[in-house]
Amino acid sequence: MIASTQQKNIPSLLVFRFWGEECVVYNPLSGDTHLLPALHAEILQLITEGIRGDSDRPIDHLMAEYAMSYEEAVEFSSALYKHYKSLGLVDPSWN
Amino acid sequence: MLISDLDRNALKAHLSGQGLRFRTGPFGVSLRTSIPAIARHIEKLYPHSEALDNDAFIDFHITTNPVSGLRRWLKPQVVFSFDGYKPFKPLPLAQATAAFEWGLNWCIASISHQYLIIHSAVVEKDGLGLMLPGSPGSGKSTLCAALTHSGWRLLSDEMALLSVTDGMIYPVPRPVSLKNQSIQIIKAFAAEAQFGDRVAGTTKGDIEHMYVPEENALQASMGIHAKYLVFPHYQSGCETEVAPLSKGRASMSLIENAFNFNILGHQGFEMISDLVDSLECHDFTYPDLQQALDGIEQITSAKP
Amino acid sequence: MKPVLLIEFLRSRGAGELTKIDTQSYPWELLIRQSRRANLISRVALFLREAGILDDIPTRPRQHFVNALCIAKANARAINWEVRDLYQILRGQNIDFILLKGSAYIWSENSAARGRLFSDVDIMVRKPSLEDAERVLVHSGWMGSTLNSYDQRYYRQWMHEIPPLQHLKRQTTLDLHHSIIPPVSYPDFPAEKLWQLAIPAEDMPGLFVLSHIDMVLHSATHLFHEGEFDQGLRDLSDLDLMIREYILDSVLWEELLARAVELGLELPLYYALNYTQKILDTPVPEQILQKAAQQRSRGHLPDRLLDSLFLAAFVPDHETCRVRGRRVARFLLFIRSHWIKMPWYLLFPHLIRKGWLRLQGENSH
Repeated sequence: MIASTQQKNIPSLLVFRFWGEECVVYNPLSGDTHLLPALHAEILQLITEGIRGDSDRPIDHLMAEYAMSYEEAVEFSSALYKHYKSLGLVDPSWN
Repeated sequence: MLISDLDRNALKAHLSGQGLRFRTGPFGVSLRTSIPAIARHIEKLYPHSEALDNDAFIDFHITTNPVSGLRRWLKPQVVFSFDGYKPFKPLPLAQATAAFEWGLNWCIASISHQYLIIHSAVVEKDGLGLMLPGSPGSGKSTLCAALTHSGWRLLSDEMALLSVTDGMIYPVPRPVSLKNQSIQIIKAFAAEAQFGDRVAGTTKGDIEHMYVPEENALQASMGIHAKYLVFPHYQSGCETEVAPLSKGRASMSLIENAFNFNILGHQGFEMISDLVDSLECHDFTYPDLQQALDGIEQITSAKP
Repeated sequence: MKPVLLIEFLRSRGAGELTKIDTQSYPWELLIRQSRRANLISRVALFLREAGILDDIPTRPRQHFVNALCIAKANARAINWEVRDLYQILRGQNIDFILLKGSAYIWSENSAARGRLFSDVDIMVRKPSLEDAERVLVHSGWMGSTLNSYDQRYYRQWMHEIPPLQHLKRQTTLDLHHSIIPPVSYPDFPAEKLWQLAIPAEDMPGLFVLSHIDMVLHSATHLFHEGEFDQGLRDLSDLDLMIREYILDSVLWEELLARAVELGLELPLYYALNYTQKILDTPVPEQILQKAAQQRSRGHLPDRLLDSLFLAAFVPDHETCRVRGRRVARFLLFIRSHWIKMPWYLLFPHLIRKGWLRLQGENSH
């Protein structure tokens, strides 16, 4: 078997630079960059960290920091997750 | 020894023989050509470039020569070659000087990954750099040419060379390429400016290369820190407007304008982000050259 | 023939003698120029780094090698991303695929991956999946390339291949195959035998690379069959590296010979062994070379003639290593490869379009 560890998409590889209300995200695997509102980037960070661990963190964060209800937070983070998948920022095979 | 120290015959002998070896910015170039227009172009526009010895290291061995074969008589063409590799299709022979300039730009941008190379004019005054990234129609070359005759020193009209080692921008001052109406505008603005021969009918229109005297350019090994980032937008008849540009957007625009961002990868991203951290970023819309210069004066002398 | 610096360098590297180089007086500029032209500069840079002498090289030439390493690294990243993208697309349709050539080397991080640069991805699917694969790839942003209708027909009708696809956004080219030799020249090639020994990727079911021996044979076939020698020395270097990495004892040599017979690839194997040994000093035992020569079927051109053509064709296309007759040699070999590829009644009109234009036209990257 050939090892494919170098292919494993380690979530923490995404690079974030925040400037006020905006964030630029760099994906070292694809070489792509994305400009996101800071809030979305925070959620992306939590999603990518959370995939290997506590996957409720994005929802907790939205509820605590942005006063969303549980249902609103779930809907918001799911929508963002779908969007990031389409941009190649999160890998469906991680789940 | 400078190119101006070579007499015309020696210059031609080098060009048509083993190659004329000279420095431009941090790079050593060996140029071979049998085309008289290019010899004139070098003589007029590169007199202060250092001529190099035979044992100096050469980064780019280039030739700009007529295409051989039957076409030579029907439709004469010139082709640029970098060590045998030809990055462009042949051009009409009358565009030989443009082919040389574009070709040399291509060489620098393609392999010089000790720099992050951003498509931008860069000028300097009092030790601080002003970057004018270039989208077509922005007028960056016209602005750049005018600024070099208004107390600013040229690093480049095309490429900001951001060193991977120290993050400073290094000069590679070459003739400023001006197109179409810009030629007249600059001739009117700076009567003392000297130009090479006109190259008509290129894909970008008519071109003339403006000579940049030694005192109007930054010396080769001096790096500077960039302080101002101004995205110019020329719009006839409008009101001059300076608008702050968010650093997020400035980053994205610089990345789009970086020739070798994909080569430098993560390191390139950190470099651009660090650069943007240190810059005051503006969008700048202007209707004519004088207002543009006034606006830039305002931006670069405003107290923080 | 005058010794060529780049070839001498590669031979030194093969002999483990790079550490003997006098880094202050070595003609680095010439090596840079020749290796860049031969598309080997990244590999040369890597060899220098591995030998521990890169940092001793004077600054200005060293910068060129460092930049070449940078490019190779970016290239590897890009190819890995392409493979992941392809995997997502094809897995969704349950289409297995084998990575071929450069993308396979980079993926499996074998010796030929070192300093390898390219922008094409080559993959092989099973013949019945070919149409589905093309359909789903085109649907996912891999466009049919902008070949003219003549070239499209050349591929589909005569070569029984899909013309290269190009990604809409990323400009990478994808070659989709169902065999490792164009069917028009080897219609019964037993592609299923390649699948039998293909190595699966851990954690990515449906993704494979060829077995080590098949990888060597494919590289040999590609080089000596396709007839393109612009990358000749680079491809020969790939073969040299893989032979040194994979064929480590007499058992493996015999397996290599036997597999060549099993797949009908005796001729390219002989060329690969003969020319890697002659040009790059690859340690091919004499008796193996003789067996490989004997395994060839009758009717091949005389060895002396072919030697003179091939040895000229492998010299890099640079003004500092001009060799008489290289262009003619390459042209003749190009014709020969096409003669092997197509029946004569297709060959001449094709050559008039292709070969003639190639001689006139400029190199493309």
